[in-house]
Amino acid sequence: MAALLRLCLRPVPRRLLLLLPREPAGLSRAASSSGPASSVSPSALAGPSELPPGFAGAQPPEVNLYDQNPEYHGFSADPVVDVWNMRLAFFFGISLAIVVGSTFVHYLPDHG
Amino acid sequence: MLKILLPTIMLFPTTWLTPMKWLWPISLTHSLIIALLSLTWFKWDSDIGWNFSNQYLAMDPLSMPLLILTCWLLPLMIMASQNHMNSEPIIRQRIYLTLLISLQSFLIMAFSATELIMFYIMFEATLIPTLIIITRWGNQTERLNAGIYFLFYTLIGSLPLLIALLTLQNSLGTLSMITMQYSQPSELLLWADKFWWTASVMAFLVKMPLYGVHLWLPKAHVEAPIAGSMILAAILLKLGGYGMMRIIIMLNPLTKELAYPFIILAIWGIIMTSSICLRQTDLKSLIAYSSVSHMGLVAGAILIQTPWSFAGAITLMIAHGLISSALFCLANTNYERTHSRTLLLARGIQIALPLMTTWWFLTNLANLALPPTPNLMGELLIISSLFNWSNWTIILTGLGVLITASYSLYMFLMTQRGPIQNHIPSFIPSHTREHLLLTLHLLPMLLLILKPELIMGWT
Repeated sequence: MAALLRLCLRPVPRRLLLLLPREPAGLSRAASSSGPASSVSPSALAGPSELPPGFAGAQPPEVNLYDQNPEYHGFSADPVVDVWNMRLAFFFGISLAIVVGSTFVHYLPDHG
Repeated sequence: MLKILLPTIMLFPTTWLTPMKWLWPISLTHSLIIALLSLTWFKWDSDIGWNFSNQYLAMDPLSMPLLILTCWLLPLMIMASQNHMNSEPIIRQRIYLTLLISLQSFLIMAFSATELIMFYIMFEATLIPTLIIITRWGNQTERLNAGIYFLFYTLIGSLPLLIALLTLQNSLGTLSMITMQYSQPSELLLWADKFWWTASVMAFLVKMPLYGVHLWLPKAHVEAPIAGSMILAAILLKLGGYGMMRIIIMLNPLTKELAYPFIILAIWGIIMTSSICLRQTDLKSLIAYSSVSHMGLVAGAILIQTPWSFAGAITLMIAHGLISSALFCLANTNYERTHSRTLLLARGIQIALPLMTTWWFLTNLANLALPPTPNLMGELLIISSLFNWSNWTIILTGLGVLITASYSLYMFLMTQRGPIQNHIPSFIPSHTREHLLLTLHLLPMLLLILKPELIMGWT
């Protein structure tokens, strides 16, 4: 048992290391459980230092749209479309559907 | 009926032919006009019987509130999705809207179907757009697992239902809901009839969901994007309740003995799932388990089959539909700012967004069934009718109401009160769109407080 432990602690000879398959640095991060046909070719993968600057998460950078348009209503980055969307939503949603709709429902004859 | 269905189908060409810049305003306007027209369905010509009918589609006091809720929800889903879809390519935005519209069409046809096979086909058809929405537009890798759970739980429940319906068609000669209520009740004496009974209700119990077969729901609700969560919580769960209310008239007298384990599971599930809510760290998961808890009450009510329990079930389905959809919208406003659903990471929001706190407060009060909301009306009717069925249920349902109040207040206090997190330097102010979205959830709730008989079915 002690001899086995000493064996584990000994550094591995260089010639044995040379027998291991070589991999590009980027591939050593993750092991794919699917077959080789589905894995990306080594040339397409890059190590962490070679990733394009905006890569992380691949999300577009977050922009506070209130900076570009102080009157931003939450609908669209284009100010004209934003205002018209807001107007249409309020008109059809509140003025027509809620106000006119509830008046209509109120004046329905009783049933039951 | 067609004056709502055909404009809904015409939303497809609207979505694909509208110029890119005006896609969302035009689809929102079109869907709001459909929602406005759907309010004409409240007009009722007869106390019982079917209204607005044609050869295949009709409406009665059970399906009418659910149909109006379906039509109301599409513009809300469109408004809720606008922000996170802004960065997607235009084709994908159109596809997303197409999926929502197809869901809407299938749901209208499902709720208004007069024939059970058509209801079944539409019931199954709603699975496809929902699956695509969850698996394509969900935000985490777990969405794939969620989609699989969602699809296969529902399919395993509903394939026996198909066999059961075909058996029923064989014996009765028709599956028309209009004539089914007048048919002679069949003598269900054999062992095979017990299996038939179970096959008939299992699909709807999985859909509702009943505690025990509910595992798909937290996954699907959490991983879905906002529109997916809204439609799942507000309408798709109610498909299960609606289907069960339709088919259960054919299942007597077996229901009296066979419903026992399911009623017990449903009522026990209220306690279990509401207790789980108190231990949740994920906000959307908390809201999802809250839905299971409320649907447990509905499931128990439908299985005991009394007039009050049916009225309570319909009322609670509509009220819960509006409120859980509002809760998911509120969770989404947090998510869009912090990109996290963890409760601990987004505390003290009242300091940053005080107006949103108002909506959080009102929605949580409605969720805990504060009088005079229709949530309370539904729960009271259900709890009273369950007490009449068996006095012991009051212990469980009372405890359930208590725990519901606890987790609703817990949700409010965890998100709104306490110290604001240091890792978030500032919150983008609330948008007009978000305030309008929550107004359009809570104003109908307010109106239903004033006239709850609209959603109480045959009362």
